[in-house]
Amino acid sequence: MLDKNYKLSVIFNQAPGMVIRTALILERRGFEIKSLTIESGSGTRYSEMLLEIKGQPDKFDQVQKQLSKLIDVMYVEQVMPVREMAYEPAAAGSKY
Amino acid sequence: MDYFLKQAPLYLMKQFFSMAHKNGAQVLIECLEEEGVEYIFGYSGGAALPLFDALYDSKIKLILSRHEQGATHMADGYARTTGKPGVVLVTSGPGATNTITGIMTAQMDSVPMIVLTGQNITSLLGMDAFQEADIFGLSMSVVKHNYLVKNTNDIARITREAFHISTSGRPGPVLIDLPKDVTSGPFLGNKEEKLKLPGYTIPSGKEDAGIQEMADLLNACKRPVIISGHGVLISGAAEELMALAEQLKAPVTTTLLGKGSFPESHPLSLGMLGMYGTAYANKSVIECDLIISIGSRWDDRIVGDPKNFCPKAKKLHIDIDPAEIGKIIKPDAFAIGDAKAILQKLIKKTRPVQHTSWTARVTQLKKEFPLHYEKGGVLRAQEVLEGLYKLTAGNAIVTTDVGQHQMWAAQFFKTERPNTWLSSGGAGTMGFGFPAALGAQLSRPALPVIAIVGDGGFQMTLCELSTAVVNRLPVKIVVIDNKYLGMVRQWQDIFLEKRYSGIDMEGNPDFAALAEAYGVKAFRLNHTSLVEDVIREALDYNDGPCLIHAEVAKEDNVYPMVPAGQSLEYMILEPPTSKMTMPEGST
Repeated sequence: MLDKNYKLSVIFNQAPGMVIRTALILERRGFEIKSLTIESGSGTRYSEMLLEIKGQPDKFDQVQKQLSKLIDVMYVEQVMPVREMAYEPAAAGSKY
Repeated sequence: MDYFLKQAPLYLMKQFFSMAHKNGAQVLIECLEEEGVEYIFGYSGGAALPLFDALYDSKIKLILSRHEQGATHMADGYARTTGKPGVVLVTSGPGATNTITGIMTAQMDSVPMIVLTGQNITSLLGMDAFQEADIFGLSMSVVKHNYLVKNTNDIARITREAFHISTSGRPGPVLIDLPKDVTSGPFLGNKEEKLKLPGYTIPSGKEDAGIQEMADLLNACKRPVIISGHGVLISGAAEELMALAEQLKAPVTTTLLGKGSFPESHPLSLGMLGMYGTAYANKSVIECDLIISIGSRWDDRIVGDPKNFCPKAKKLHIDIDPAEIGKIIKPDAFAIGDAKAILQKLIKKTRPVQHTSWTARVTQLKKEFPLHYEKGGVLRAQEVLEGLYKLTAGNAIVTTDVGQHQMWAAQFFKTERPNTWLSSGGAGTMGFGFPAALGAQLSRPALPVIAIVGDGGFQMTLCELSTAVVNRLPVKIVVIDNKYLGMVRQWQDIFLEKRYSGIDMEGNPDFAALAEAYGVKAFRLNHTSLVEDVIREALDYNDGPCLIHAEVAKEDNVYPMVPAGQSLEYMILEPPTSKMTMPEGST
């Protein structure tokens, strides 16, 4: 089975160790982290981690569930293609 | 006063605060007392000095182990018998890293545990100071959660959070790393501060999703089998399991950790299933048309090859951990939540039935493929374990190490009651059995506790003989000594043409003499004719720990056996007559 690219948004309660915990879950299940950005909202205790990852499709569901289990994670959401286009018009354009 | 505070040297300020306020360590110990902690299993050291000092004035009893790994297994044994978290207290650096195996053992088997580690002072973190280990980072992948406390005022909240996380939902270990300046500094916070866990949710079982679907499938099936796992014990759902099994006339097989969730002498019991499970359990699973896993995670030692695991049977799953649903086996119906609550609903939605022909078939399988071993001649481990079961009538707590003796114990020591079978399942930790027995004995002083250990595993944690003696714990240690790492030898025997490598326990001590050197009463057992008398004598000895050194057949294999990664159909019932191909599954 070929690896696939995915985008994930992880909303989490600001607490130490979140990046390492996330990386451990992904690496252990064979997912490569292509990019990782953290946006800390001002005046809130929550942050958003945007991840571009590559790995086996049959492990993707498990990865999302394991990330959701982290004590400080509020929720995990796959960033779907429509939203991808909004984020990256240039990349979407290059598809054609 | 203002002038004084501004001008006074730092040490005077500290003295002022320490007179007026409790320090972090004292508050932490108070929190432990409030959580109902009776024992702390630990080993002292420099970075943990404030914690051990605070413990001096506490009603909590310190059980001083001889190695930090032992302390974690003791806490684990205590937790598995009581359902309450076992608490471990160690120092920084090697003290902390020595707990990793025990923490991982607890994590793999969903055991509640709180591990408190001393740490260097905060200003030296990352400076490679003496006995500094980044235990926060090191332990991250083997804990349910962990903390590095950097502010004394957070100690009370974090301690309460740790207990909540450790014991709720799917239990697990929580580690709190405590720098020395944080535990010795004054606590100026609010002890009742609210927990800050906005992301932590626990499935309650109150949701009804999936229950009707499961009930419909259960009502429609003709040949049901129930797999009962550790989740049933954690949830306290043994009664509900019995009610469901009797209502559906469904035979019940347990996982290694599920032993005790259903009495193994009950007519519907199939004993343990899987790699070294009973032949009749595995054959019933192959023939069933519906299999429901309750609080079990379709472990690779049960399923073998997931693609070929009962392909024709409907599969149902009850688990409190959403990540377990569909991880190995995709169920036809499932419910996420507490097993007890879900089973109560399921019992109401299912109808009493009589699966006469299925019951008859299972009974026939039990008669046709009983557990057996060769008797006569040299002493065999199975005889010793069967003897222990008969002479205790199963009324004992049994702990085991990992390997052949563990599987024979699982087969021949029937478990009748919840929380009386303690074994390292997921992690497969050698050296677990004996210290776990000490924790179990502390929690259940009136019940015989038998540590069934191998000669390999026992040597990993036998330093805890001192701990057993000092605390006068009447644990019965049964060393099944075949002078080999028997399970590895078995694989090399069956799959590698007896190319024995790394399994000879040459140089084993005389375990009875060694026990006596520690002040432990010892018995030698080397002949079939002595089994009953020696066990009886050991069971009657309660002035402290005692040890039975059972020298058993060197080359004996555990059967039935399903080669790793293969489906249950490939179960081996007798010693193979020719070389078999090495299985592709892990272990």
